[in-house]
Amino acid sequence: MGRKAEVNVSKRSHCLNILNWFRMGKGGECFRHRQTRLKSVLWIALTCVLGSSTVLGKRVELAYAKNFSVEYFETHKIVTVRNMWRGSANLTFTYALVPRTTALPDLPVGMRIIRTPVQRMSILETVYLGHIEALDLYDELVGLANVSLAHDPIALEQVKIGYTKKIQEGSSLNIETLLLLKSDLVLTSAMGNPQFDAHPQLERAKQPVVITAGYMEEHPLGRSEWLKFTAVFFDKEEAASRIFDKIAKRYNELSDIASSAGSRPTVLANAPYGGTWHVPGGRSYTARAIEDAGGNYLFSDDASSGGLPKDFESVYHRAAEVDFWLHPGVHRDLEGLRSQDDRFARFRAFEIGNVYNNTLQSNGTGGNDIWERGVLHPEWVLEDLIAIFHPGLIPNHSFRFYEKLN
Amino acid sequence: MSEERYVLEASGLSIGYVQGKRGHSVVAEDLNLKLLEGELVCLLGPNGVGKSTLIRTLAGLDKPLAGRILMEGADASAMVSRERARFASVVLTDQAPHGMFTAYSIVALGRHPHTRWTGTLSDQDRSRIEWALRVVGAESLSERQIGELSDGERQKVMIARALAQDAKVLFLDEPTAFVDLPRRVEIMRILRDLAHEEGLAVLLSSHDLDLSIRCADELWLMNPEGILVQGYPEDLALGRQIAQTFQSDEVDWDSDEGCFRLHRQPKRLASMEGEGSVALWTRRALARKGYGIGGADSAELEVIITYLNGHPIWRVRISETWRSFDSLQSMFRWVESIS
Amino acid sequence: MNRTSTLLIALIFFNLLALVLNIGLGSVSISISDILGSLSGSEKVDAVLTGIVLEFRLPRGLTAMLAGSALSVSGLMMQTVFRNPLADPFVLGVNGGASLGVAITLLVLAPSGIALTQDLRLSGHILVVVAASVGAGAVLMTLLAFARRVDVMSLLILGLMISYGVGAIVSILIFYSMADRLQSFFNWSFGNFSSVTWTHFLVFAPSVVVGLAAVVPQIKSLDAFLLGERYASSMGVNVRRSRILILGSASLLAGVVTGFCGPIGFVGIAAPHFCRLLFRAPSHRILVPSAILFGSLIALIADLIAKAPGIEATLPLNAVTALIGAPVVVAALLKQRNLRRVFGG
Repeated sequence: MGRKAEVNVSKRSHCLNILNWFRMGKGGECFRHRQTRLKSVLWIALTCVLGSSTVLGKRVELAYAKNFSVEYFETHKIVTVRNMWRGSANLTFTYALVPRTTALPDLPVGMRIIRTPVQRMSILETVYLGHIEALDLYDELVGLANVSLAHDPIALEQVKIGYTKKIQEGSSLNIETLLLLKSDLVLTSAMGNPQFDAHPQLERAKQPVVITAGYMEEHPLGRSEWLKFTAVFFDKEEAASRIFDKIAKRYNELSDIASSAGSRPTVLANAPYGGTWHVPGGRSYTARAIEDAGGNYLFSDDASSGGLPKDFESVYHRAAEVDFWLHPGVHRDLEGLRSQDDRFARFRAFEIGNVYNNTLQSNGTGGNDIWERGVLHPEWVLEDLIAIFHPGLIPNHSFRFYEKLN
Repeated sequence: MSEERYVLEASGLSIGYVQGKRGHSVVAEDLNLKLLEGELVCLLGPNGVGKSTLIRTLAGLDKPLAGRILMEGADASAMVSRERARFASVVLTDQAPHGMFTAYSIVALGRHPHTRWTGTLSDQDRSRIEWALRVVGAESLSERQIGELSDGERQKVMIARALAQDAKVLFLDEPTAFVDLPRRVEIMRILRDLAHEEGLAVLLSSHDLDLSIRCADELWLMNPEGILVQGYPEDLALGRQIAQTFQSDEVDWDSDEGCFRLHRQPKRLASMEGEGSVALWTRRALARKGYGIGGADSAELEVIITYLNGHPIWRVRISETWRSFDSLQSMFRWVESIS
Repeated sequence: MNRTSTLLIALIFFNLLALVLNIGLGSVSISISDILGSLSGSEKVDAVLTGIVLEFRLPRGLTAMLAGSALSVSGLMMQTVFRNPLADPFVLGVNGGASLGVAITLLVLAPSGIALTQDLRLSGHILVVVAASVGAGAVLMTLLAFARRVDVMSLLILGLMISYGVGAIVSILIFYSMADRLQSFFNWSFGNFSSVTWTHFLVFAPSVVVGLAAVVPQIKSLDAFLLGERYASSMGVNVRRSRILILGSASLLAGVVTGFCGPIGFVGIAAPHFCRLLFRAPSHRILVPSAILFGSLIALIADLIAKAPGIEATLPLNAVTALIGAPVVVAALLKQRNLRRVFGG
């Protein structure tokens, strides 16, 4: 039986739990328990007083990420992930993180257990490479999927020398290689589609797979805060907190700078393929980033958070006079863009040369740092965007992810 | 002697087909054939002997393995399809055409070698089409859909198509195959009239020996060894070539009667007195019942044909009993009841 | 003949009507006066609307007409030569070849195609068109090489087998690809008329016109082929040469359309049947022009529906052509009272 001190954003549930705890405290207990209980009373009182924004030791506090939570017990941590994919409603995944040095406590049957700190980790998406870089987890990285889409140079070097193994080709997971790796942790996200998701297969193979829901966060800082999620498995919560605080601070600073700008230029994103133009929805990550950077996203009136399929003509109808155009497919120069379809030249943004793509860090095989460190550092992306829309606000800026098409 | 106009001449002709790398499969070789204009020639022979191959080769549809074919003196192998089309037209056993064809439009296709590049029909074309339909007696069918016609009617339309092509030679591969007897007779008559009155050379292959013998000006007999014999139908009948061509364990050719007999060893002997057609049919009935013809003393059955008021009466003796009957059926019923 | 002329004129009229509707309707409705204004370069019409009419709707409509005609005539020729009512322009596996070309480009080269695009200065779309045409051409060449040596039925089966074989390779490529690339490939396979810009049109239109022009001298041979190759030969058709010319031009038409617009089904099967039914004539002198007009009309109608005017999205073109085409084929076949007899049973 353990103490329960749920660390959460709201104070109310904080204090409610104290009541629960007192209710639990009836009946014979040993002296030692009583002592620690006293300590926790004081501690809880302190947190109630000081508010939820303080960071306590190795606890995880979340300000922007909504899709996971961590509970701390004496012998273990419980991590809960929710909202893993569109339509996952009330489904949650819980994981018990138990230190190697501790015996397994009483846990509900079937609870997924991860031994910490993790020493051997495999990742099925490249986004975690940003966390690995920030927390220096290269030694623990033993398996990487979709190597051709990875950018992180150190990770790629490790793959080259064989330290980190490739575990996926195309859309098919190389399950045998993965099993041989004997990972302590396999990180992946899921779509709720049994055809494409890897985790059912992995669970059947008794792999320690953990589902992440970072991509479902709506706020760029929410996505970034998932650094803390990864950190929990390595007992590096403190480092993660420090790093994230800096990120959030800078992001909000930049956001304020951007909102001080007078006018908001109109912005269009993406490019069509085969007659259909998937523009980002009004509440998508891209839309949000544009708005935060002081731009006026053309389809902000839409309420979806995914991509909207539209035909070229209707996009042209709305966007013919747009000021800026971002991410036109894979093109890095205007001639290439025009040769895909000469009607692109009719957009005003093209005519005045205001076309930018986030391909500055593309490494030629398909890897792009914007999907790795770019996810962890939305403030860098925001800075690029503000420099695009309002160059005067950020003097002497050198672009990190975005380049202008010439 | 007047110059005989040979419309088609084949010399040293070897027919068959090429079987990839394994070489040729020869159906018949060293054939020397001639077709005269205005003659109806019937090609006969057992199944599988190569009649269709010969017809197709002579018509220019298949290449000969060796030898030469001359069409009105010109070498056929040097001709392009269009020239050959003015010379030879065919009626084959190929699948019936599909689609929304009227009989008229099928016959109109026969004008292909003569029409302009768009295929539009001129007045001349139309009159030839109408003539062709009239000759085969299919005028009333001309607006009917080809899919709705009976086999015989469809065959007539296909013949009309070949006629409309205005070629010198008409080649037909088993044109009477699936057709009923009256229609078969009609078609043969049409073909014979076309040869004799319009001056066409007509070559057809057939299984109908009787009809062919009666109608053809010349018979070509092909046997399984690849030998081809040509001649007057009657000459070939008398000279036993027909018998030899169709020789088998099952049937015999009877020159006297000009027909085939089932080969059955007669089990018993009968003697018969009589003449004319009655005698002929009585002999047939006896043969069918397993009786051979012998002398009166060795026969166990004796039949004497007499007449009463012009009607035949059969007087029959078995053992020592004599009876009279007015039909063969009643006669045999009695004979069988006794034996 | 009178009936035929009337029907042809009616078809021309409906084609023009459908074209006007296609130009007027879409994500935004444009009035006739605005259309005319755009075409004449009038200042009174909003520049964006003019842009839409001239750069989007007009090329799309014309592409639809050309593609529809090409597919329809191609299907007609295939149905005649193979004497099979189920033949379509892609029965020789040309489609499969095009798919393979596109699959290789999008699924294999594209990841390194980012570099490819820059170095060769070829846009993604032109590359796809080239790949599709090369793929279709390769299949066609293979088949024509066989065309000299085998008969028509064997050719049909060869084409089918090539389709299967190529389809298998495409499956393997799909299997090893990432989801986003697949999206591009599937987008291509839905078919659409809207990605042909005026620049592309400069290549597309002449190709289709040349293909159609090549059919005209074959009209008589096509009629002869209706009775089968043996009869055709006996009537004076040079069967080997005609077969190559007819199948070649049919596959070329099909390949060009697939290259520029993606694979589009049903127009090639349905239009010829409907023409035969409507005109009640087997002669290609009438069927070829009517196939051109009717194919064009079906394509315009399908595109209009696919644009889903009123909704700001598109339906996949292939689905719409199937939805229109299937009932047409069924209606045409049911009209024949006894199918077996008509189709040579």
